Amino acid sequence: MKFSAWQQSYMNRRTNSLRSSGPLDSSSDSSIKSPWGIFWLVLHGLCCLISLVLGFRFSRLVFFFIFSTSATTNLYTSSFRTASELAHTLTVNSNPLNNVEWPQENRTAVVGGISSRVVVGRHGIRIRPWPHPNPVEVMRAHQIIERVQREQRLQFGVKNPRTVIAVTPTYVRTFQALHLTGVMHSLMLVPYDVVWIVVEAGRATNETASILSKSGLSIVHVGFHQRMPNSWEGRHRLEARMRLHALSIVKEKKLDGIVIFADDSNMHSMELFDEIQNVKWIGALSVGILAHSGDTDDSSANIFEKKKDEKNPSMPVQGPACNSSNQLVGWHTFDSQPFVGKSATYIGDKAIVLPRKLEWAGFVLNSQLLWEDAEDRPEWVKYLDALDHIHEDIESPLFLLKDVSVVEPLGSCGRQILLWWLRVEARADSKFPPGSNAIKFSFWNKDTSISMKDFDICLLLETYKVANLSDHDYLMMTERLLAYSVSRDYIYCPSSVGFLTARRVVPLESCLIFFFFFLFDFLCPRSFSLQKRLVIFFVYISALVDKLAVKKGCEVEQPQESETEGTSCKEMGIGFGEKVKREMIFNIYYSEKWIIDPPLEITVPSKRTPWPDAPPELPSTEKVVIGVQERAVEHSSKSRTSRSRRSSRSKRKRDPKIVDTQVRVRHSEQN
Amino acid sequence: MEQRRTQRTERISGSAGDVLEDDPVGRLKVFVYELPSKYNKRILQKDSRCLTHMFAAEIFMHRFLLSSPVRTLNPVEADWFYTPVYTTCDLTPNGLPLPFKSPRMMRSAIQLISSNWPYWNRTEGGDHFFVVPHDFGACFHYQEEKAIERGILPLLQRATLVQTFGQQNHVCLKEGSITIPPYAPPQKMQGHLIPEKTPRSIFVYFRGQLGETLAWFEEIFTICSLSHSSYSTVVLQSYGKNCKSKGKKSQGQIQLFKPILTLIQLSLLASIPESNIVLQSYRGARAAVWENFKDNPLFDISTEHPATYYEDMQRAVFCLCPLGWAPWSPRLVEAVIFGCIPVIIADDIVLPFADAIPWEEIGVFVAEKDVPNLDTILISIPVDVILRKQRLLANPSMNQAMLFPQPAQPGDAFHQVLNGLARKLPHDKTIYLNPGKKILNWTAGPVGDLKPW
Repeated sequence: MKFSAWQQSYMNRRTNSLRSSGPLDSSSDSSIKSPWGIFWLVLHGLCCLISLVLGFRFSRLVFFFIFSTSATTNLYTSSFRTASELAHTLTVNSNPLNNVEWPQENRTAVVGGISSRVVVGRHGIRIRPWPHPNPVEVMRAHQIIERVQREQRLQFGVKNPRTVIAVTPTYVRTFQALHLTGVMHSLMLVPYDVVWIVVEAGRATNETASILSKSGLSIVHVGFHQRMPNSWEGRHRLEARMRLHALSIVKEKKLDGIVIFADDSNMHSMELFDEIQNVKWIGALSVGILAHSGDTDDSSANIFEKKKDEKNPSMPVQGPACNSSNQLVGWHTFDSQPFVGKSATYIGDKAIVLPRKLEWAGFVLNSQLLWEDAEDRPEWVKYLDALDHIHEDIESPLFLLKDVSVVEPLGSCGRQILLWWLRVEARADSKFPPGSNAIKFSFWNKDTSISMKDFDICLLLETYKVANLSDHDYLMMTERLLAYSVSRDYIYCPSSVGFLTARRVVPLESCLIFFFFFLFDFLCPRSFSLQKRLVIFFVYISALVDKLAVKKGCEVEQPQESETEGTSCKEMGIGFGEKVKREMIFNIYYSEKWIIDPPLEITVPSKRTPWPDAPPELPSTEKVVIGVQERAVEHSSKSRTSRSRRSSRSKRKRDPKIVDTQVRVRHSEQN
Repeated sequence: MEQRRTQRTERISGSAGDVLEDDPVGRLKVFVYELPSKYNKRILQKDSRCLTHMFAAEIFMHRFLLSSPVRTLNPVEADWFYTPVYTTCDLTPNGLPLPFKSPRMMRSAIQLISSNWPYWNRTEGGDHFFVVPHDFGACFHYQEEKAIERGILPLLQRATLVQTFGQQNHVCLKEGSITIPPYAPPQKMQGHLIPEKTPRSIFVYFRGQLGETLAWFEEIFTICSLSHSSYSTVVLQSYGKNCKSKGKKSQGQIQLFKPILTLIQLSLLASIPESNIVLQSYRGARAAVWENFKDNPLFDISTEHPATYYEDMQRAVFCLCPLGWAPWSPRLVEAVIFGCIPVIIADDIVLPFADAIPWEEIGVFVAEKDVPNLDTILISIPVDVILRKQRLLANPSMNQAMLFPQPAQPGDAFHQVLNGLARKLPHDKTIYLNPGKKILNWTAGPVGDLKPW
């Protein structure tokens, strides 16, 4: 049990090193105080030890042999005899061709010691000593894929693509790097020209500029004279004004292209950028709303939990509503009714963050709409200047129009969700550890510390995973990110939810599986120096401790200490608790594969994609004026692909999660 | 596949494009023997599954010839004689095409035509062709060793064989045979086409048996010998293609029984001394692919057969076609149809219509022994070559030549067979025997084959 003791001490060190100041020792004290926590630590330590002994590959074999021998010995007493007799008679009777001698050379080729009975082929099973791909070759493979895709785009893609003008309001805060980097990477992957207008509240800061500078995009980074208020209401309002400011820049510089409102912390499917190329003047898209709380165990989480129980969880979607002949007939807006009194007022509140009725992000504009003197400027557009002196809340780009019916619904008439709206913020007064926003583990020497870059990637992968974009997008992003960092062998994400294997982020279910994976990676890359391998080891441990801390340290042990909860474990890890994440993943996971059929009539306060199993009618709790029939239709290729992806993700056949996947597959097939 | 043809494609002049687009009509005449329906139609009535498995070419070829303009009703003017006998359509209750009766059936059919018509005896099969799409063609056995031992049915030694099996210097491929693609359902594949702009983001794709030891245990136990224990030994040996066709459908149910089955089967297996037979089904190439690349992020390989198999192929750059039980597999056809560059891992394979299709320029050939370096080999192909291969694959005549569509379309595999036959004309004078001369030994071959059918 030396191991677990070591873990504990490690955890203490880690929490200490991560906390900025203040209520330092509460967690270390409390974790020792609680017998429950110790029990779990010990149990996990035990699991780890066991798995350490067994090892990943070794264990698989051992397990198999134990299983097979026990099976045979058991059956020897009872059924084995009959089985063998049966087999013998069959061999003799049914097929006389059986008695042939097998060519001798085949007997000699024996697979690497797995079993003496395994006789295969002319060459045997050739296994190379070093199984891992050469990083240079991986890069090259990605280049090949990229080239192939470029060729595809040339042939089948948009012929004369217009520039994408992305408008992003932002401000310096704890999660700015997280959100902004996410959007930045999405924009970096856009295969068209991109102009990125970043409007920063307060002023243009170096912090923001340093994030933006990594993108290599053409960026217009401007400040906005007002500071970001602390309330969500205020933030929404100011952001609207910042976007208008960006539009005025578009007008002044006469930028030509398609304006999208890419808020930081939104998630974009790569398909979106193809889809918006179709817009003539102004287009509207469906936005998946990830309404959730900033914390794990409050009412909002319960709302979602409850919905899961009722088999009717849903993801709100806002955007254009079409009739059956694909004509725009109205809007699906966010119904904030169920959340009255429960929504967050201030940024960082432990309550649900609600979107506006219609988010700006759901609209795209042809930038020529904004120009003063465009030749074929349509008549139904107001002049941007005329809006300067309007002081009321400008809710959405629809204010620009005299006639709303001109809006072009995009994404199969709003049936496809190509972007997601999410607001996750830390408390306004929270900070990453002082000095830098890179997380450094101080007791390692400089060379071995995890740099911000790796951490960035981990965060991004987290974000992508959470967003569960289209499967293709996700893979593309992860793999490109991997390609960026492939020169550093592997990246290990010390996040509390997952870690990255050579291919993808694997959900961290238990210490046991976790360590199996770890051992697999730990034992295999033998070319790593001992030091490096140790580092990896430490990172894994830290992830484990993170997990434990989030689970036990914070939720259980500090419920009453209202003073310290703000800076407790949430800021330690990535920032949002496990449960929220799971909830988000859950929501997105299900929403992504369902497209919404057009309602027959409009006047829909809110739209929800029903649970796959639910009957096609709207749930009765929904407030619908006229019977709106919504039916979830499987988006065939999309969902199937992700399905197959999921299954290929569980290539290792012994993974217990397979059963789970199958159940889900069945769910979706029933529809 | 007409709607796909907006793409920029490429053809190799003098080779692929031209020969594939030949029209066989007018260049040959085929006489179709009228056989009693027990040789063809009645067998099909008994088991309609024959229409969908990968040997279905024999049935569709017959149907095609009946309505084809090359057919002649006058045997005197015929260049080729066709005997419609469905030798692989004799399925076990499991749906496994085990060709135990095929030699006797074929023999019976030949006996019939040789006694009813004078044309067989004229050449003893020299101007006759037979469609034998089974694993090892006219060797009529599903195991390679047995097939080699048997050799081509003695009565067919002078005939031209139209078969899927193709491997150089192999007993079961005689000179002058025409290698055809295995049957893949054209309608079904068409239904799974996705927009061509869908980015190909998978580097290497493979689905199918991989011969992984543990997977193998499961597979054997669950798929093959679940309901028909009487076939268990046979099936254990024939693990591979034969089991697969069944396995695809029933895998779901099988999951539930897995633990019990494993117990039973393990004991069963332990009691069969020569159970290592099972593992010989693949020459090691697939297992090597799995062992070397199962954790490689560039390789999307697995034994699971997803519902999106066809779609995924359209998202892949390379599709592996490693040899399995036989060197060929329907993957080749699927890869070509879906524009995924086939990576052929099967030494000495003879590919379909190799005289008309420049496979070297279209696919990638990797020696079985080089499988451990597969990634390096694929990555070192210049991008321009890859793009050219893709353009060649997109050539409509390429796609058409791989399919047996209903109804037949110009340039499809039927026409390629006819083209192949036409290219063999005129017949060599030496095939015509002097009256009364006999070359074929009607009593050769295993005693079991000589029994009446």
